[in-house]
Amino acid sequence: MKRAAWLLALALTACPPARVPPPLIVAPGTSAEAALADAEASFGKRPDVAEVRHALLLFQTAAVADPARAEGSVGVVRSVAWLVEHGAKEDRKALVEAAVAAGTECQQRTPGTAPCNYWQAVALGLAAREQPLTALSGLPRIIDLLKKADAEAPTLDDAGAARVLALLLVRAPGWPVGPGNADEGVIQAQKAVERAPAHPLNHLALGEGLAATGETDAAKAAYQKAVELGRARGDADGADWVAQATAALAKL
Amino acid sequence: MARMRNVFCSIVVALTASLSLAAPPKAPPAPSGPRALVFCAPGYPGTTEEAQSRMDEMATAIGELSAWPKDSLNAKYFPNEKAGLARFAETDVVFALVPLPFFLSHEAELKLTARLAVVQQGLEATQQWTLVAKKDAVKKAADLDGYTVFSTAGYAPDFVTRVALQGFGPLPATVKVTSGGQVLSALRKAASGKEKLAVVLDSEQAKALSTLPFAADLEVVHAGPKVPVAVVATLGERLTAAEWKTASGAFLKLPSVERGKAALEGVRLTGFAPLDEAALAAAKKAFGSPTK
Repeated sequence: MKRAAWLLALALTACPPARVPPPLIVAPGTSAEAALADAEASFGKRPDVAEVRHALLLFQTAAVADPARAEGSVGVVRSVAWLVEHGAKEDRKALVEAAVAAGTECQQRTPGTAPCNYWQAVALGLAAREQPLTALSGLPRIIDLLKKADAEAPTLDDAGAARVLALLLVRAPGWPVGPGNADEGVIQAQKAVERAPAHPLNHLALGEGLAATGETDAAKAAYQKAVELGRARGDADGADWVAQATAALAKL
Repeated sequence: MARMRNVFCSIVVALTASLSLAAPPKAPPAPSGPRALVFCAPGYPGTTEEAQSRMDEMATAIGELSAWPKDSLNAKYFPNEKAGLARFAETDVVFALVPLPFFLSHEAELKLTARLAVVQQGLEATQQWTLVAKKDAVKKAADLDGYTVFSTAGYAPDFVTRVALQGFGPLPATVKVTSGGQVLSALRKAASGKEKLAVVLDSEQAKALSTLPFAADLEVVHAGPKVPVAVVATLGERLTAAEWKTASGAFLKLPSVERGKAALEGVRLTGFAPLDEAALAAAKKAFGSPTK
């Protein structure tokens, strides 16, 4: 009996469940500050996927190096949000799990702060997209986190909370099944545009909302604005958003 | 005479050949190439991309139960009528899973044959559509003069006026039917009474009507006849009778196997059921579908 229990324990040790990420070993004396700086430098090299993956690792390192700070956890979610869209499809599940864990970690370290509320909502949103069966039940919590973040820090991530809330309301199933409401989504997107008018993503979100409510001409104008602003940025993100807006325009 | 015999002989050879071609296959019928199941539900939430993982699960489950070779069935979802129609035009699409308004609107052009009823979670296979308007504003069809009638089925205006509102009486020519996914906003506008707006709700929406904070300002004016909610249809001759026989068994068995049950839950369905032929025939008659 004892032997059986020992074998079972050995088996569990040898085959840890896939969901548990291996612990990150950080060399003693590693500075969170330095890791964060390096992570930001790597993250700035988008669209190089390898660099963003390296940034993710560095953000995780920063989070381990200083358990009192939340920037590393936030960086993990930011990196994953980008990698989910640009990296390999087969990595998505593990990446999203890392983001959800980082969102929880952020809340444990600096509970209820705007960055933690916002980025945890983003992480849960990514998880909802990966797990559509459980997505509907999780939407009220995401909405709550976004509203709190929006109230506390309306310009965080270029009005990110209003923008993400807009997209959620436009894309989610509507009454009576879910909280979706494209009209309300348009209002949130307009709010995001007012607060950060130079950010192409806010115009993209507005375009999507207007298209969903049948305001085709206004949607076209919003997408065209996103194209214009994306081109003006002259960077990889800008090019990405130009491509998204152009594809959306073609569908109208 | 010899010539006559040659002709006769040719006929016999041709008949023999055609008979041998028509002989039933010994092995279970399997598709010759990848086939597709297309869900097209205009105005429903989600995008083609977002729904793909759930579509893959449905295709795998149906393919397995049909004993079709792996990856010989794929599935795609379109929340947009135009995109759905474009996909249906491709000959690899053999199954259509569509709401009744879509089916009736495109039955003739796509050569659709309704095969099974779709059963959504919490609903029956048939439903009544309900006309809702500002309290005391609409009592009879003539009161809809100058009204806009909003419905998620508004992409098929003839369905709304002829099938959903069947029995309400002749509608004024001024009635305009509109569509969209924003039912809640439409109900709020209707309740305010600022616009001449009435809303035609499906049974799921009608069931939830009383939960709205402004429900007291609205009134159920008319409930139409029971009609199928959505159907599984085949397209033209793209699937043989034998193939459909195998596939229909697969559709019906889905809820009884774990993988099928999970796939159905992913698209908010309970399963599939035999069609209510009488309800469908009545709906087709009201719509004015050509009789075959």
